[in-house]
Amino acid sequence: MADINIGKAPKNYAVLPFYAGGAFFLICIALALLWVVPELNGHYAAPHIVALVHMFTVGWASMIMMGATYQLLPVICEHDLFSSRLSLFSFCCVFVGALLLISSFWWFHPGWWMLSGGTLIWIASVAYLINVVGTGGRCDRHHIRKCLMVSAGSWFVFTTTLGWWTALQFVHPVSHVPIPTWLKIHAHVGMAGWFLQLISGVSTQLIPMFLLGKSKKSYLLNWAFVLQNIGLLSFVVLSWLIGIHAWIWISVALVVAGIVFHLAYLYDAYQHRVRKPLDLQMKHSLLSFLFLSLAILSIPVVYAFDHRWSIIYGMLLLMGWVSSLILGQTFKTLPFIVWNDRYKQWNGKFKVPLPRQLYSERRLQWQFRLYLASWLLLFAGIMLQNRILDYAGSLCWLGMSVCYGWNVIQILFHRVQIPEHAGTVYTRSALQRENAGH
Amino acid sequence: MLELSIQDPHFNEKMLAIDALHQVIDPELFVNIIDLGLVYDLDFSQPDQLVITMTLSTPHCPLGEAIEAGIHHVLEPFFPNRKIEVNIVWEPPWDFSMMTDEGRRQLGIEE
Repeated sequence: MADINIGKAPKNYAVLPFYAGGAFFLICIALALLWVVPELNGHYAAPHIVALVHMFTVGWASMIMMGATYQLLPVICEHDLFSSRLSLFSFCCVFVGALLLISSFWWFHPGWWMLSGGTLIWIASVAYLINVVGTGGRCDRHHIRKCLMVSAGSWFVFTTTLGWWTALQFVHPVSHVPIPTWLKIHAHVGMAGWFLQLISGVSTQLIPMFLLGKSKKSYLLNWAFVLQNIGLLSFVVLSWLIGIHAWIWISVALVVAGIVFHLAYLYDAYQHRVRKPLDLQMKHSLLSFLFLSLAILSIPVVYAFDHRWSIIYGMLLLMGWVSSLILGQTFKTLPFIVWNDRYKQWNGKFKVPLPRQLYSERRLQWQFRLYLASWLLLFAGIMLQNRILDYAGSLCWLGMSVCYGWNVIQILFHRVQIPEHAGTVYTRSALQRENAGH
Repeated sequence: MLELSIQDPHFNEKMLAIDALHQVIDPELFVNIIDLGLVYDLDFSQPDQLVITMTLSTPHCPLGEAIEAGIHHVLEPFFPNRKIEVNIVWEPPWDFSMMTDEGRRQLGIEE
């Protein structure tokens, strides 16, 4: 074996709990969504809506993104993960923290309940950053995706710190900056710092890989990194010092320009892809970037019109951009992680199933259909202020979550069946026939 | 790219090895490593050793260990007296042009 370090995947306990936790919170979201239907046309800062938003951002999106980073960063850096135990520790903190924080919002209990949840999530974000920096620090060569993941991790710590600070203001108001300003900075840092930059780093690695497409325009990613960070940094500093005024559009324009460069890179890879047909997972991912583009286009409308558009904007980002990407990419990553663990030592010994045979393709198709139906119904329901459409959309979301959760559980609990003749070698022709059949 | 000449003194052994290696699938692409063009060389020059020089479709691929295990499993029964060694290289970097027609067909790649 050469000295080149290959395939040292992180321990399973460093990654898999995040997928299980994410699936758990996705089902919680579906149940909560049904519950809050009567409040969907109300203010976005209502306790149940805030709880729902944190189920999306912390329980669902951050959970899966942390797990995906622990799996992917060693591939990008061509080095082992800094610490698998630290990953597990960050999972325990973020899972318990999310439960405490979300329940404190739901029943609105500011004070120790909210602060302890926030503290645990903050600890998880710090542990995550240590792991990301520790892994990236050993990386031999400069890589813009690594920079995006490190900056995303830094913004993650910053937004959890701001969230904790805002929770503190409810109990001990010590800052002259009003709470709504803190909340806006917290939310934008979470979206444009943590989510956007991590997705920029991860998606530009994974999507070209799965499409068998390559882009030689890596300068687009450099610009995306610079513009997204300068835009967000200017937003934070100016909001803090002066408050939110018209100049905020300069920061918005810089971040949007960064997004355009990121999307341009993905489009270039898409144009130069070798594998032309798109599977459902990739359709989910493409849909995700369509939602991101729509969210950007809706920003002026959100500022100009009422809170109904704020809900639509939030939906485009959380239920659209972030969720669609995760719903698709889960089945491009999780089956491989589990397959690698269960079948690594059996590969070549007997006819092992393929990673995509670890879950039900049919259920994935239903997940995609229900996701689209849910989105359209909820959008129409909110725009027309029609509660029946809201309920129908929420039920579709519940069905979609069950399909997703069922498939995730099926993958996680997959058991290897070793045939009695394991050890004998199959003929080439049989395997070739099997392969051609897929 | 792996090239095979009938003049090669180890022609028969290489044919046997290539046939066996068709059973090792890259789980990411669902195609065997020979048709993907991942195997660059088979070295039988040492009497007690077989060195497979190959690459991976993605550097530091987490499935690299599974592929390596698969190579050992399929070759050891055919060459029990040789120590199997897998030498991973990144040069020349792998790209789609290294695939066989069969590999391209299995991946649904248009010509």
